[in-house]
Amino acid sequence: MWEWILIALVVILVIVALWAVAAYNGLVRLRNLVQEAWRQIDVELQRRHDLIPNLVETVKGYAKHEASTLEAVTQARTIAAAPGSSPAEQAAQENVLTQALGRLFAVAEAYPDLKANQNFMQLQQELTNTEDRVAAGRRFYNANVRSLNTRIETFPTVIIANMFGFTREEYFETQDAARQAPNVQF
Amino acid sequence: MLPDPFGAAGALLGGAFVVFPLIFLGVVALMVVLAVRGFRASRRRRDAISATVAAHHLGHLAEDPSRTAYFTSPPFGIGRRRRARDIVWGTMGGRPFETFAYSYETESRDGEGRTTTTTHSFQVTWVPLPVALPTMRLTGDNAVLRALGRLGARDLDTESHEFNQRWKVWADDERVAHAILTPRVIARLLGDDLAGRAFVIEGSAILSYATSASDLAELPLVVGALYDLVDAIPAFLLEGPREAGPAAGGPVG
Repeated sequence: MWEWILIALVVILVIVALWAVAAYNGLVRLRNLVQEAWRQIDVELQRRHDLIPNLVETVKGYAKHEASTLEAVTQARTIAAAPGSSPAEQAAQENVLTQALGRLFAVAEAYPDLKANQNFMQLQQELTNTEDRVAAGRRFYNANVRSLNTRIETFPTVIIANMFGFTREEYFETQDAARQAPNVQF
Repeated sequence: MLPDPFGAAGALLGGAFVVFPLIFLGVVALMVVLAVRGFRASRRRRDAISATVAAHHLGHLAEDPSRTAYFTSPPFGIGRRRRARDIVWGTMGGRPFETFAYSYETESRDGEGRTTTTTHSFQVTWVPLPVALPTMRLTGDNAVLRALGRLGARDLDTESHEFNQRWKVWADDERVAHAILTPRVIARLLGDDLAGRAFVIEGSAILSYATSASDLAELPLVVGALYDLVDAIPAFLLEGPREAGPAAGGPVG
């Protein structure tokens, strides 16, 4: 009788141990995926920040009287490019930069020569392209953060998460052009 | 008076002789009616296809076995006796497309060893993509698919709860899938006109299929929807991946 109880206990322990290993590995995999997704966003953000000085210089050549707009872009870019920000802080800085760039492009509308400038058009296209990449990276990153946070907060994985110090990751919420146009009809 | 020992049994036997032939005749009549209706429906469908082909100067081929191997994602690559019929191709709004009725058969056996053959029919429409992309499948969501998704393949979730409820998404490369599923694409896929359809990106083609062969009445809608999706693919996906720079550290916080 006692032998059977002992065997049952060992079987249960083995099952629990296997589950714990699988749950831990799943959490590690997701956390690595989140970090990798963030690095990809970081690459695209750096690319965005690298484009801005050229853009400012090009606009300056045509619109010298728009110093305050140009200064706002440069300042927002400097803050956004500073390292060490969390995803939420980075998102807030990127939103400020997006708004400043929006004002810059609105100003450019008043300068036909600038709008027709090949370099300006190329930079604008590259910036749009990079922002699309950031938006795609953001969706991938947030989907993985959502999966990780759900696992961390739901039973029974919450036990493993608490035991091994897994914590919630922050979402990266920016205002990209695509998100502002959800009701487009084809 | 002695009772007739065969009276009740005789009446029963006589009744059976009447009832069983009647049932048999009824079944035969039903099968004939169904066959005639099927034949008429098939003829109507072919007439409609011929009219569409003539009206829009499209190409038409009655059957081509090579089309059954064009794609590998379900519903392709399943079952036996695969057929591709009524292949119609051409341009719509100056953009190329091809559509055909695709079918295959599956067999199932009941407990008594009887084999039942089922024919599965689809109308497949596809258009070319500018570049080859990793395979991605979008199918209408249901409880069974969701349960299967939980067990094995990972169902990709987006920020739209409504989309997640209506569509199940499998992707070979989730990064690419998230890039394709922009809010604009999600809004388009939530349109009621696309209910009951599935979409597949495979290689350098995007295809849509729905169950049962059609008379091509919905062709403009399907081709239009396919090109809506093609046009919504971000330009950077067509350029290929950008090399990732050195790691700049994980998220802080």
